[in-house]
Amino acid sequence: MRRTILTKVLLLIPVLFLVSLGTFLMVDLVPGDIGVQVLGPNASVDDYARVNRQLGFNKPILERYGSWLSHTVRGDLGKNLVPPIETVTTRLARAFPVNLELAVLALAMAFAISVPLAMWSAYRAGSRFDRFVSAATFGTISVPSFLAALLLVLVLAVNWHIFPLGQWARPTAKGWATNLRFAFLPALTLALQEAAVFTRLLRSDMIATLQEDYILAARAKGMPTWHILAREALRPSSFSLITLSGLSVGRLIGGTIIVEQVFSLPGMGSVVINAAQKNDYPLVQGGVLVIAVVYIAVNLFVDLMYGYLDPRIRRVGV
Amino acid sequence: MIFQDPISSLNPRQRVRQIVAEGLEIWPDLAGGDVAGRLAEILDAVGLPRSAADRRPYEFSGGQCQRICIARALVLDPTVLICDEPVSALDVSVQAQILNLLEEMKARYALSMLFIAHDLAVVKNVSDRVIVMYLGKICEVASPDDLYRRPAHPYTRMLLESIPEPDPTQARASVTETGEPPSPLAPPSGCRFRTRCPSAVERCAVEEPMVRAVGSGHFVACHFPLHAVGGPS
Amino acid sequence: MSELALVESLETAPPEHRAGRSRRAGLLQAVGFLAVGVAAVALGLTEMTHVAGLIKVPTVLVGLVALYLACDRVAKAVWGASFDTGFWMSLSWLVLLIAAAILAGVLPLGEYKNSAKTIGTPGNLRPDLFSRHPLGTNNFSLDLLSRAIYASRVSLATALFAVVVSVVIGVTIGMVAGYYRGWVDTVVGVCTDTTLAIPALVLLIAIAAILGVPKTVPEAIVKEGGALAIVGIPTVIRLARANTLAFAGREFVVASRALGARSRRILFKQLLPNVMLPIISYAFIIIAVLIVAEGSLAFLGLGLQQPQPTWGNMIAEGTLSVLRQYPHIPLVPGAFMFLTVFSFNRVGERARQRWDPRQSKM
Repeated sequence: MRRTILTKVLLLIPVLFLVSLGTFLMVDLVPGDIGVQVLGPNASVDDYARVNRQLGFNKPILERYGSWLSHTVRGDLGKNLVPPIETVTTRLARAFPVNLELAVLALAMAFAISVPLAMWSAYRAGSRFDRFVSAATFGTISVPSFLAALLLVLVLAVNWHIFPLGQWARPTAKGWATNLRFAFLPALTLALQEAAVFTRLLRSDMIATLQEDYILAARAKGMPTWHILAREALRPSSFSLITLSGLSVGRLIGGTIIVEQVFSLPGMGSVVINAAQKNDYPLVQGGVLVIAVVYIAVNLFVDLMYGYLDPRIRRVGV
Repeated sequence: MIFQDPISSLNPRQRVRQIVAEGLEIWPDLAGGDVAGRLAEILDAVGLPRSAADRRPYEFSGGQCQRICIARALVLDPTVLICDEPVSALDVSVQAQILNLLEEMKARYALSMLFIAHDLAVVKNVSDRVIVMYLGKICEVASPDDLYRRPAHPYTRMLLESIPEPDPTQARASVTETGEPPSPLAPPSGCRFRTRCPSAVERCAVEEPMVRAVGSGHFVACHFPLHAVGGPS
Repeated sequence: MSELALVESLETAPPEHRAGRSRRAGLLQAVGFLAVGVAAVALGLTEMTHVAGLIKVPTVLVGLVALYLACDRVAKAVWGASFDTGFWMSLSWLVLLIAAAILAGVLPLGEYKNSAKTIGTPGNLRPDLFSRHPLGTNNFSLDLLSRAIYASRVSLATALFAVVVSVVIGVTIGMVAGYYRGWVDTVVGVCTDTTLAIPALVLLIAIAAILGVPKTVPEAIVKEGGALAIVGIPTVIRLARANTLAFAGREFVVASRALGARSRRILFKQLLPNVMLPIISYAFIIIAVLIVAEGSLAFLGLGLQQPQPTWGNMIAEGTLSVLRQYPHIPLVPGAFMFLTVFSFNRVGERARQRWDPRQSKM
């Protein structure tokens, strides 16, 4: 068990190295002069020089990478180029809680939707309910996130004014109630996509589990249906779900860019996009790096957790 | 070579014609130019209809698939044919057909066959010479009659005694209790069979027995063979 | 009553009668659904009645579902109960769309790009099936139906280009890694893990930011297609490698080697046909994902710019104020995109059931 953890962590190092190299080289791959790209063609010569110096373009590439890496490892991702100028870390640190809250809310909603749906569909496999749910989840998977966001906005916000739009209220600033009102729609958009996938997976796993002999034995002993579904069948079927939800967390933290744009949320994705549009490279670099590292870390955690939770692996590995 | 699972031995995406003629494609000099003729000839020899050439493996039964495998193996006119448990996966009635086919091929193409099997009845039927092996080492070599009537190695005797006797009135041979076979990754020192052998002594753990003759054409690798060296054959 | 008569009276109708009865019931249902469907779609998509936009949208939805059910009942009545209506309708949509995309130049469509030509046309027209602009116009008076079809060219061509590149490169690398194993496999593994470690959209955005915004359709196909291929190749490599591993252990490979075949022959003749089949069935689903990804890029403003239409940037026209008044402007391209992605998924699901029975969970 310990060996697997070690191997997995060790394999991360080349991955992290390549990711850092990639994000670092992103700036180099931009065609044309960096200063012109950032500031436009009408800035002064001094400004171009400043930008070039700030990005270290007057030094050889290995030295640049070395100093960039040493700063990054210490948590210093530099400053951004386009005003308002502040450290990249501060910008990202301000944006991260938004992503975190969205991810947690979306995951909770996804579970709340998918688990009962999947359980009942599996129990009544082949029924009209089941076929309807199958069609609905299949349809939901086929809807791109921005379209889903638009539809939800259309129905819930524009015409029925249930939920407000357009900003984000930090719980520290305006309290949790307001925050949740703003968070509901984006979280729901994300949750629906994940819920569709969860439902399909859990349903097929549960159908397989429900055919096992011990379920038949439980019925023969007279156990009530809900007890069988919730206690006996759910736990063994949930391994794939747990893995998938772990990957979902990673996806929810890293891939919410579209939803952030539609709902104008100040999350990390928005930061990166706005920076990309303004050619603010240090911010793009820092943002992509942080998102990638968080994604990798979450996946690693899920990987290890899965190994720990599955008693077969635990018993054999130790 | 022909293998145990006839269906998985055939590429599901190829037609029979391509499967059987593969050897001829790899070695075009051996084909002698007439690939189609050779193909028809070999399909006839193994008892498949000419129309089989254009069909896919999933359209055939297990026995027919094994015939296709035999055709593929023989199309290059080999001198040696290695058969890795070719009938174990087949129905008993089909087993007989395939064994007869192999006999026929042996005669027709002057083949030497290395036939690997677990079923003692099959072995006795098919072989001119039987080699008994245990955990990768040769235990005994003999003609089928000699082996079955007078086994010299304790393992051979154990195998023969394990054959179930269908006649309930016949007395059952006593099978000495021997336990589980050891792991092939860590075989016992000296003679590998010693952990299950009723006649084992300290010498068996120290010194690995060499293959020696115990009769004409009868060899055994045991320190204490069941009948003495140089006895009547 | 004699026993024989009793038995005869209890006999149920012979099977042909029963089948005929259910067929008739199906056809009756079909007529009912057809009526509901036509009425609903007419209500939603024409200017016959002045109904609020919000009522129209679900009405059209209900109408389309009813029409689908009508087709389903008719098809099952004619071809039997095992007819897979969803699959065939998806296939028909795709064929129709691809035909429309190829023939767009010769079809009698409205103006899709040059707003100078549409000064006389009123803008923000609602869909009206019997007018000159069946699906309405946008803010610049450009015909939505025609824009949606021209936009499909970009999406379909980009996705197709990306899939072909992904499959060619991915299968080659995956098969080599899976067959030769060793250090090649490890290096390939690290590279794919790295690429998969970054969330796909972030990677796409980064690549798009480097390559810059495309200005013409062919440029978009190559640039966006290339970016999508880079993101898609690791998945294909993993698939190809897994399938290669599975098939390389099969006995027909050993038999081939025993006959004297060399590695190249085994890779091409024995393994490739077997590995390609599940990958091709996966290709449809990959296309669906790529269309969504390309749409996301366009929605974020990183794809082709207006007035060149892509589904993504057409949906992006649906800002808050537009949504309130003219929901059809983003919903028409949305519907096109949804139907296309759904159809690719549906066809791919069926292809996968036939050719890759191992992975049919999701």
